Amino acid sequence: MLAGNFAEIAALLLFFIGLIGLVVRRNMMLTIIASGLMNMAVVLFFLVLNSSPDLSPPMMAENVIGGADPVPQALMITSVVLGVSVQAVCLVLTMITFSEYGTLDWNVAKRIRDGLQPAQPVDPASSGTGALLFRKRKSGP
Amino acid sequence: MVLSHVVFGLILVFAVLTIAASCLKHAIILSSVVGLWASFAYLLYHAPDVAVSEAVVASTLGTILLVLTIRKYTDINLPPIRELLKVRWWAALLIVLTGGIVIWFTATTPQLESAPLQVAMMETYLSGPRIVSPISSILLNWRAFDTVLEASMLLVAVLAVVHLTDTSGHHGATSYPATNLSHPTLRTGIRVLLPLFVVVGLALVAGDPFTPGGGFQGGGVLAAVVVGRYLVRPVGGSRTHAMENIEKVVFVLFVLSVIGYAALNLRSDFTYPIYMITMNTLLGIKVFCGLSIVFLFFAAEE
Repeated sequence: MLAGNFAEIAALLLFFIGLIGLVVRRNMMLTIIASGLMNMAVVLFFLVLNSSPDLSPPMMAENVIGGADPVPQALMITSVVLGVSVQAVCLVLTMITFSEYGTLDWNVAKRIRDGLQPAQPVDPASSGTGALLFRKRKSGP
Repeated sequence: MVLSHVVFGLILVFAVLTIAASCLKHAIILSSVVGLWASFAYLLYHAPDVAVSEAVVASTLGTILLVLTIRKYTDINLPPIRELLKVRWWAALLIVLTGGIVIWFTATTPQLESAPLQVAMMETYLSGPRIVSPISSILLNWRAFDTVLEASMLLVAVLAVVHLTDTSGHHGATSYPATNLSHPTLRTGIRVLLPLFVVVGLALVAGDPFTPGGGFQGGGVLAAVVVGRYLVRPVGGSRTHAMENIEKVVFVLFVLSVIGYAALNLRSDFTYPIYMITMNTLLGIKVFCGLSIVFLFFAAEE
């Protein structure tokens, strides 16, 4: 089991650990961190495909199959930088939600949105943008 | 092989600790540790370019953004994961079952004998003059249009950060702990290291066929210079407006040069290195501006 494609299995395990964190934890910041872990797992999975510690880096390769596969590496460089920029946008949205609702908990934020619980805005001066993000649902029948 | 087993084991252990953390501070630092071990694993599997960008951009800059964000929250303690698992045990069980099936299929699938795309790419690289590293050549020549789209996504993310923070006005808690309480040792260390960072960043942008390098990694290292300077002497977000304009202009130039190179059929052995250096420089400037703007907006004290 530890031979062959154990690295791919480890990357998949990391992905599912991140997914459990994403689903089970009810904190907005931990949701962002867990999706970051999942992004890392995807990068790891692509990089260990068709590569092994015995080979050489693609730019030092002497023959065609003597180096690691350069194609997944070129695909993943952009993914790392984009992961951070997506994380930054998520963090800004979380900050706006927090200033509107005064909580980082998804369940509490949902209850506030449905009018079951009063909101505790951190800064009463803030208004407007949060309403666009968490539009109030119509009260159902 | 023992080393890579240990590295993968540590990645998984720290990932479990991250999602089971009882405080946001712990979760952030633990996820950054996972990132550093992952970057070491990339290096073991011979992907030095991705290792550099993971270590500099994701593991360092991403962590700094998270740390700057939790200054604005009043309560950073988390409920213990045991109670949450009691409530959502069915979701966790479903994920474990799905994960088991996927991993079983992966474990029983035989390895590929050869990758046709790798063979084609390496044949082109080995038969050519070897003046550009194969990764840059795939990134900027073979899949140049994809790279343009991804650069546009970075631009969109930066604009989203700028405009969302602009229109919402004051958000977050009223009193932030100041970030300029830096230790004298840290300040001296950063003053000594910053010129080195600039040189390394420029060398990565310029590139060399036998070492890792390219616009994405070099831009990340140069953005780390902005972070370091901010720790020494916090400056406001006054320069971000100019940087935003530079980023937009560079993006237009980037698109034009890709389209020009592909549409005007300028491909030749002579123009290829010039095109590569130009593209890497433009990409480096763009990534540097984007990441610096994002950092400065998060660091703003209001």
